[in-house]
Amino acid sequence: MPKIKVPRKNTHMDMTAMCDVGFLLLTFFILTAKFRPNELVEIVTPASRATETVKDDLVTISVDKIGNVYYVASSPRRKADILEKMIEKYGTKYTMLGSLNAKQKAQFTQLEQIAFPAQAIPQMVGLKQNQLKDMQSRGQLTGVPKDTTNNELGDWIMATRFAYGDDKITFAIKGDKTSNIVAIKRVIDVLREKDVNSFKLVTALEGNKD
Amino acid sequence: MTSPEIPSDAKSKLNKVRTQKNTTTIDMTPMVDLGFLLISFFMLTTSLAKPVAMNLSMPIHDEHPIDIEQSKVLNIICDKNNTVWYYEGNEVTHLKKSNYTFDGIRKAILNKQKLVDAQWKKDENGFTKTICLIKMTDDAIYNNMVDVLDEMDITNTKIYAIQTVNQEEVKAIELVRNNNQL
Repeated sequence: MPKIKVPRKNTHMDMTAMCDVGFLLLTFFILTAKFRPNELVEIVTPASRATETVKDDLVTISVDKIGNVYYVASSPRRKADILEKMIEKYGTKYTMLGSLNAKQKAQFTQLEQIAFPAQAIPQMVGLKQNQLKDMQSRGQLTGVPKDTTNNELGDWIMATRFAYGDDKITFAIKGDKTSNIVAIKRVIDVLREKDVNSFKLVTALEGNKD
Repeated sequence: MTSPEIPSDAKSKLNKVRTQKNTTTIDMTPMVDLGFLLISFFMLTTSLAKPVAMNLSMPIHDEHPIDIEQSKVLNIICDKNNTVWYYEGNEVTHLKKSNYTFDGIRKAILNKQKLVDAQWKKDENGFTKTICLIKMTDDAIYNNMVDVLDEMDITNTKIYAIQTVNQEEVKAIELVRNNNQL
């Protein structure tokens, strides 16, 4: 009787192709992922049922736990325009601001957020984000003034609206969970004073809360 | 064919030196494992960090106030320590205490909707005609506001407004608080 030979199959598989695909996808995800910007203050947004994802071109007004307001304009080009408008308004009042040189203006466009009164811009533009963070942790940054007597927040909003011209502009309020409602209300009121009646509230995706 | 420059005995010596042949294939499995592990990590983390936005529209400042039927109105007042008060129409004295859980303010809104729907019918799009007036005392936090706006979405209440709390309401809240303490 002839022996039946069971053909031995090699269990080893060529993984090269799979490896290629894997790393291709990995590269794709790493490159497309947008890292969270190095924010000055940590703002824990409340969770909501909203599902609309935030677009990049938002003009965000952040309100931190103690009610300080930080103004975050979108692109550097816009920031340059906004700064010009602010200089028009405050250049004569604060001479330092009026005499900003081109380098300082360029530095301004690199700022992540405006966290100080307009008067302080000339001193602040040269600082690195980490230095600003240090100042923030020591409580030396007071944010953009928003009181009725010194409503710079309103001026920033108007400057932004002028800078955008006819382009569509979306304002968003990014408040901390625990920030007092008075500060948020004030920001809403300032926006309404400047005829911005429709805006967005930045929130986190809700988990299973109940 | 023999090459002319190498003598035949020398060539045979060359042949004897055996170069070791290494296999060029290596086991890729751990590498693939690592690759996919990293992919899953990046996919999961990017989707989690994405913020979302809710829309909020406020009325134009100089708009004339419109008269509304008090029977459609539910007033919601956010207060400190995550308490929320509500009353129907203009019956400030019938203030009730609630919270932000499923059984709390949401139930109150849905109950009011039932009453309003019975009296006023739903509108042509099938939405309730209930009007929620959202007010916040100065002790409330931002989270409360977002929670209430969320409830508007959950209960499908399309007509709501954010207003300032008035003196009557502040007094009524004080009164209820004092009564509870006694």
